[in-house]
Amino acid sequence: MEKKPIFNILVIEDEDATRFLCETLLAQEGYGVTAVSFLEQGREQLSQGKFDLILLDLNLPDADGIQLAMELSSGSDSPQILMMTARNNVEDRWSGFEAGAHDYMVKPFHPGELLHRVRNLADRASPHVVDTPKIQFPYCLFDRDKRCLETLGGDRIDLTQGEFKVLNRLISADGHPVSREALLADITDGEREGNWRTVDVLISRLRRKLDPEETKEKLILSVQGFGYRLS
Amino acid sequence: MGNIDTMRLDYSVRHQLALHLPADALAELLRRQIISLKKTMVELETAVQGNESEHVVACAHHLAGAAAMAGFGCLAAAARRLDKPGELTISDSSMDLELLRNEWMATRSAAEQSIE
Repeated sequence: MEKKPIFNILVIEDEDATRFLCETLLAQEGYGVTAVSFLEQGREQLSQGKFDLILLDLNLPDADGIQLAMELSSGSDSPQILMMTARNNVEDRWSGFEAGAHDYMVKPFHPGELLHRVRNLADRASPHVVDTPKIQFPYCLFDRDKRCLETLGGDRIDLTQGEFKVLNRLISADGHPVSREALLADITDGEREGNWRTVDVLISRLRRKLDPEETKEKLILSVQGFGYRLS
Repeated sequence: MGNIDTMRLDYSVRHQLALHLPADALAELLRRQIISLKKTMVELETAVQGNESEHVVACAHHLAGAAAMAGFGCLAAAARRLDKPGELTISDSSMDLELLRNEWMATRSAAEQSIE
């Protein structure tokens, strides 16, 4: 499969478990993630590489995240900023937006909330990502623009809306596991209607379509008790 | 899990995490949550001994956020009672500190049992 360009996220969060959670959730969604604990480490990362989005904790041991948000928002081509904090009063939230935050998330947050907010910001950003329109699988080609598969012999295999969304999401995750819940949310445009069986049925159909020669090589692998990933 | 103090562990939080994380990542997260809280409790006790009220507030703020993320609601509530920037005096907070210590002991025990 061709490698998809990455949407890069810098996580600046001093609490080890929350940093690990953000890093793991975002990486398994296929984002490029760099995670640091201190503001100065964040600055160093920013000086070395290009980031599309910064997930910024407000209360850092060496400085206030507001400071960095103000510095970044004054520059041109600044990354999107998603602030996260346990501070939840109106003034704090407003000062976050005034400093240049594009969104504000209060702790504790639901894992799905983080992914939803990041997805929204990623869609809104003028991304450095150029989606690869065609992706080669061993036995067929996925054409994102035409929303179909093409066999090696050139035959077209149509995908339903649900099949397209599931396959697209698995490709975006770049080999990382995607939960059934996340796939269901994609299929139902965030409504999570239906149940996980719907996802399982779509996966089963996709497996057949991705392997029209019936070689029985599984391109979509089950992750027990969780979801699916591409091999 | 018969003896686990479920009042102190919000299993809906654990359930949501389980929906989004593979089992090994979830286990690692729980391990890190406990270690991180332990470390902050030690830091808070040192700050109490040194009568550094602002440092106590910073630790309590940290604890409240981390405990809430882990679904340890009672511990988060106890920590929030000490998260009073510019207002906290250690000598007047002995009851809140005691409550926090008790909640920490109970939560840690329940959390450690839940991942065994």
